[in-house]
Amino acid sequence: MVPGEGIRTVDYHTGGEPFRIVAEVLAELDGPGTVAARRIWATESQRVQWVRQFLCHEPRGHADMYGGFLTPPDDDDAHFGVLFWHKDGFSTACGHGTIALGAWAVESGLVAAPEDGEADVVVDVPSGRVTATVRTVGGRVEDVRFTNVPSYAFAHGVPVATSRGPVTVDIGYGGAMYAVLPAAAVGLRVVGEDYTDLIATGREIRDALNTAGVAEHPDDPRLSGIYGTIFTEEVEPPVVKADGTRIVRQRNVTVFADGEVDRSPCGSGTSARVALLADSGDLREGDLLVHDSIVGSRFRARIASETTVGDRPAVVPEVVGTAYATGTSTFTLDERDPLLPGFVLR
Amino acid sequence: MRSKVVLHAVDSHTEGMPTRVITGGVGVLPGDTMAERRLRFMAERDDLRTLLMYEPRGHASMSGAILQPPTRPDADFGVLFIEVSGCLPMCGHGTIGVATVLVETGMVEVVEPETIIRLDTPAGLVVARVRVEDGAAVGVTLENVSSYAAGLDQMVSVPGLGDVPYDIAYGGNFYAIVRTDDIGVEWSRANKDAMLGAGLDIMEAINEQAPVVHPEDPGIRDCHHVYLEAPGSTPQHSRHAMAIHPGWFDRSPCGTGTSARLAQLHARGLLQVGDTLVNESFIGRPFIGRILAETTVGGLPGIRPAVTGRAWVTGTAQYLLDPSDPFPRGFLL
Repeated sequence: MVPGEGIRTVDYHTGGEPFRIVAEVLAELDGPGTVAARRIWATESQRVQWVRQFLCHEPRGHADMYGGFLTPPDDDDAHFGVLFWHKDGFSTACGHGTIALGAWAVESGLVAAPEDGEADVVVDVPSGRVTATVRTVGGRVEDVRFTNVPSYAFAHGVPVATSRGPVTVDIGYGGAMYAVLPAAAVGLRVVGEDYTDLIATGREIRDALNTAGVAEHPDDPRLSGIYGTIFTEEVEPPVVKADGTRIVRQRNVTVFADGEVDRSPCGSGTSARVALLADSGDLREGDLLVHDSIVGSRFRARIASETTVGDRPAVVPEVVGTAYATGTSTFTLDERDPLLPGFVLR
Repeated sequence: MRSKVVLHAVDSHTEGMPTRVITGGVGVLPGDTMAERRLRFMAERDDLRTLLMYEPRGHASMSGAILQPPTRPDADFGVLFIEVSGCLPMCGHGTIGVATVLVETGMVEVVEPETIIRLDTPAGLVVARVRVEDGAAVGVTLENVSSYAAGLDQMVSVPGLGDVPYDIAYGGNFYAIVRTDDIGVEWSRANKDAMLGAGLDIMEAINEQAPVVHPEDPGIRDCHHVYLEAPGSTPQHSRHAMAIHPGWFDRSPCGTGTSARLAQLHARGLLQVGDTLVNESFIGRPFIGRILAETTVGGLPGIRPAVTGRAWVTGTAQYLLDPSDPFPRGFLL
């Protein structure tokens, strides 16, 4: 399943969330085709699924590992394609992964960048073409900016019964659907001590809303359903700058998929948050959302432009973060190993 | 990519539990003995431990060892065990991982069918006997500390569970041994959250109502491990899930836990000197325990146990730290 010399990866983290990059294209993912088609190939390929588990599950990874297989781009206008993966499968888009790939493409020399300035890294992901704009200062990557898909408020004040009492949540779309509520509404805070309770309550809210079938995507049924729950907390009241624009400081934790916790402020979750704040008038064009994670990492987000999705008002969010290399690995296998490709205990 | 460090590693797992063996990039740690090096490392270099064990390079159940030149002439290598929780003086699965890596990377002279590796650990000299076939390590045996049953047929009152019957035994740590059938908790991977909750509640109740202390070393006290015995377990072949404070399951079958289980079964008259036990973990992988001899521990009857386990190399890595990284010591949630 794995060539004798092993599989090489470069590992990054974006705001604490890991991203394991496999730059050498797997044979099953090569050849002509689009990245969206390659995602289907990957999902249906026993060997590609095996390699995903080999790299993501214990003992080589862990339940919160995340990564990507690089592929050829859809056409010559993009630098490369990528298939995002996590412990349960392949996702269609990933903000923190896009930021990590931007930093890696410049730091590895794949995409040339000025000493001081910006370089665009164009990546085909299953949900479309994204551009990671890498800003350099003194020859070093300072941060990475990407523009997300149009995001919108889907619903307000949806009642949910939880084991911590009844609450109401807002639902926002930022590449995936999120239920959003203040952590205080369920008697919790966005801190490590409340980690286990945040996971349990986040799962409860997501499951209750999905059972009730409240989040149907207007155009694409594949994007229907709540992907995660975002617990928010205000860091300080909004600050109005001299030019009249505001800085909104919030902290959040996103509990997504089957109880996974984003260590970063979450790219799509931050976008959903921007859409909801725009909808309620708390964030306008020109304003800045400083969005911190449960481990204290930070994304900055703005409204890049306003648009519509169907007949809903929507915004195009721009998210800025930074990624750092944490290591390079060659993962090998011993055919006698009884735990291949790996295991999950969560 | 810029980095302040380049830490070279051979990563392995011992029946599921990782041992990240650091082979280069650290240099020689100061100290005349490994025990002294451990204390100085904990005081002066703890950021290196957390960098390697915590996220994003590691995770909540990571574990490892830093190789060092030995501090005594009768040892092949010095070993400093590093964990998420600190630096253990000795670690069973870690020793099995280190010995396997040393053989399979040729860092020791490999002799078939058995290569004997003498490790200088903070707890003293540990001899690992590695069975080698065609250059591959196929089993590592080490003798553990003297183990004993500290109490049989004990009872503790646990909120939500009622009166819980248990045995308690020492094999390097104290282990409460509880049959999940006795407490009405289903033993299954799907029920792991409830099992972990029960394990943590039981250890808390024991530490409140019936605290344990080692008769020869009052510094060794309290129960932080609960052996949740699966239905159908026998003295020859036991299956269990090991709940560990503050809230996770051992991935491996636990070397010290296997030793405690041997001591308990010996005290109950179910195993004799020379007998072996296949001790299977929550993820279904075994260590083999064997009673080498009888002994006493602080005047109490006990045994000298040996544990045999297997490890596999999973890869090689260079761990880096960007000078601008906001988490220079890693982080833990």
